[in-house]
Amino acid sequence: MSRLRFDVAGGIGAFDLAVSLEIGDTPLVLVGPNGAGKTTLLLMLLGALRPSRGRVELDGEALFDSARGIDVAIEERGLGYVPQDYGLFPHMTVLGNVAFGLECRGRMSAAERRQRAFALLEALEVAPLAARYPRSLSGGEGQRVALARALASEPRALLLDEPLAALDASVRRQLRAFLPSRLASLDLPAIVVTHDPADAAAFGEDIAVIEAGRLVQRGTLGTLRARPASAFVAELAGAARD
Amino acid sequence: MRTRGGAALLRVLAAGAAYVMLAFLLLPIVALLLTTGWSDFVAGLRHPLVLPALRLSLVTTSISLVLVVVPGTALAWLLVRRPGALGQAIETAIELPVVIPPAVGGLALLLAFGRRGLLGASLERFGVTIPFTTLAVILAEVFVSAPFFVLAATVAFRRLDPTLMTVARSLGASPARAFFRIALPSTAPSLVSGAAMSWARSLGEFGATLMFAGNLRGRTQTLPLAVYTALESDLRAAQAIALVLVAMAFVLLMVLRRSAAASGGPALGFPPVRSPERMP
Repeated sequence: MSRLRFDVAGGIGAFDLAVSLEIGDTPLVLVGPNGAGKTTLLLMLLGALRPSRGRVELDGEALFDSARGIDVAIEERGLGYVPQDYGLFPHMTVLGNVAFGLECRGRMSAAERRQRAFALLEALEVAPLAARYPRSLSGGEGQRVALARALASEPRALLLDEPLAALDASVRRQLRAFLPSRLASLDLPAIVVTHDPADAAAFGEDIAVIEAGRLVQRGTLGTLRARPASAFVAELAGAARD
Repeated sequence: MRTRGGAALLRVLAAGAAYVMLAFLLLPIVALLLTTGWSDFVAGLRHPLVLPALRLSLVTTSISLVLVVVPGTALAWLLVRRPGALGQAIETAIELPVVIPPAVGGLALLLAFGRRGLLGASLERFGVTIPFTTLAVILAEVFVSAPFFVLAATVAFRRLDPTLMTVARSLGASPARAFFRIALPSTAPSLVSGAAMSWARSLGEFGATLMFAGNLRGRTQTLPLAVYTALESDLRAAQAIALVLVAMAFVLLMVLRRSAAASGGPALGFPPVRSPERMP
């Protein structure tokens, strides 16, 4: 069983962030108001931002440890990342974007890469878009392509930043049904950042709330609803009816 | 108080001023084209000044282009990735050669690399003399043209979404691979137009070259210097060279317009140098 465990701290702009969490095979939904430090936390796990102290551990292997001077480079961490606006490479086709993930990881022929990339697009039901360029994709399509690309590199854990935020209502409902089951089937530790109560409810049983850089509460939606630790949690749990 | 008649008058005056400006800008080019007949042009091209100058200009501007683009790309990348007070200072320093008069640049180059310059004595010890050689032509061109490329590249890299680089790295790309496969290709149109601007500046370089490299046929006499020299002996040769330079500039402008259309930026002229802040 895979496990992502971290305890990181760092001053980021206006406040200090200090969060300690452990995640198993079920996705963790990370919720918080805008500016709570959610994206910053993801970037620290990813290795794009350096915490001032703490540890990040994946399957018992230290990715970052300030005490031991360990700071594994982003490309060695094996964390799949889907940023808020998907971060698709604008000069590459959809297939090229996914193939890039394969190209960086393993030694395989170009033909094999294309085949694998195509299979990944098929699995996410976006294979017909293979030859298109990112700028011509809708939000929902972009999201699936970005996920296919992240999976191409065979990550050991997944970090998704606001995966549903940029989508309009109908696509959002569609992906709310699609993404969580897809994530659950991957058996990977995953963190899904959102500020939307309905998205939080759709993504899972395990919800962690951070406010101003601190972990306020963690539990199922039921727990949050029954014993909210803050006004924000109460409002969140109240709003997440479905 | 403004009246209807006043507004109309103002409109006429503004239009008049605009057309006068336009006429003034176009007239010299038109004069150049009209006063050079085909036979004059061909005769001018045969002048012994022309071919060596053309060859020298093409060779030196090609070399200076490479010397500008390769380290210039590295410098621009560094400036964008490591921002700070020092970076700001360096950026301002790089802009200097754009605004200082070329003749001053030439003098400065002499004072740096000349026989009695800062580095002159050390260079001489190794048997290297730079002033009044083809190398001096290349150095003068690099000096005056590099800022155009470095500034364009800095703007392009600053516009690049840093998230793309983070994603590329998370997919397993080394920093070098992320740079060559993501950063370079997605900023290519801006880099090409920066390189074209810089090359145009090299091609037209006159003042610094004259001061630092002199005007020696076949060795330091580039096309602009040849125009100047030919003016004293054979106007037709000067006109022929001028037309060749105009044609090159025109082709360049077309290339720039196409690459600007591709990248959505302005064809000529400086993009804003300081631009949006980056990821925290």
